[in-house]
Amino acid sequence: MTDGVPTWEEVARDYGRFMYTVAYRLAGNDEDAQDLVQEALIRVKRGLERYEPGSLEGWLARIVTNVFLDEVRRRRRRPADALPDDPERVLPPSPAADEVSTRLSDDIQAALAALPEEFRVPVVLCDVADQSYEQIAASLGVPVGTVRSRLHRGRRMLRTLLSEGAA
Amino acid sequence: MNREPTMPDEDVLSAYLDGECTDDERAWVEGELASSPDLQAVLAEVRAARDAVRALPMRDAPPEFWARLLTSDADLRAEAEADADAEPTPVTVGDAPIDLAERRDRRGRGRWFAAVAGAAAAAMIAAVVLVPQPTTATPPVGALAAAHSVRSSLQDDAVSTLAPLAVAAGFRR
Repeated sequence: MTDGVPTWEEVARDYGRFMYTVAYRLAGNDEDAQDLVQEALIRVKRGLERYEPGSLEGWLARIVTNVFLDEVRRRRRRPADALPDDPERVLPPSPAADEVSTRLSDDIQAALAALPEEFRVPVVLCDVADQSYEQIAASLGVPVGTVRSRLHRGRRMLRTLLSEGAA
Repeated sequence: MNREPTMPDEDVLSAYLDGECTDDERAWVEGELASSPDLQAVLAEVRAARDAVRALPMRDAPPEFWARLLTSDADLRAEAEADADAEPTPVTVGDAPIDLAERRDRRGRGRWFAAVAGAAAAAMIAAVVLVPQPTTATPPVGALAAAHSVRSSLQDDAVSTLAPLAVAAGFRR
């Protein structure tokens, strides 16, 4: 690392799991999460020389989110590329040791994935990537008030989905 | 002329939980909570959803993904060199057009310059240098238990929480 700017390899090694977690919570499946992280790391490589030391996680979360939103827009333009509603894509078998905990996590992940993107993204950025409202607003290019509103509505929808799923 | 204080929108409750509201809003929420069971109920719901997402564990990519990434990195270098010979186009983070499906196809077909020996060497280097080092498994048992407890208490049925939520999703509208 020079002048507080990490190398690409350091980003991949030290922040790879963080980026992957954000990507997975946004995309809802491993295959898309891998594509998102790969593309995000390409953008990191291209943008590192312009990176100004600050919140590296915020910068990385913003890049992952941009890649995700670009892909959402691209798939909307080309509906034929839309992912099939195959539960296996959303709930891949996980090798976690604690089956109950894994199933609980899968339920929450499924509810998260069921949120429309405009609500899912602020929830993931706030509660997974630990970003402030201001950082989320900057990432999404919307006012802080919009972040606040979407985040709150997203959480209420999530709570409803979890209740329905367990009923 | 006296004016009634304006009641904030309900989303002030999320901002309150996240420490993102103003002093005036915090005072309003705390004043109302003391006397409003409805507001208490909404706050409990929002808190439960927030805590559930925050309790989700970190997600790991399979080790071969990171190894493959380094191989892709070799491809990127070759692409960058080819681009440099062609036309220098500045790239800005956040606005690069992408096509993940197309990239996935290319990855599946393989690249002519990704020689087998080079890929194998890159994968070995990745395994040693790049792949996030395995750590002792430390599932967030406390956080998961707390989330489970929250849900169970709201549903009065711990067993029902074991039923998976049958909602398919992904990139979709």
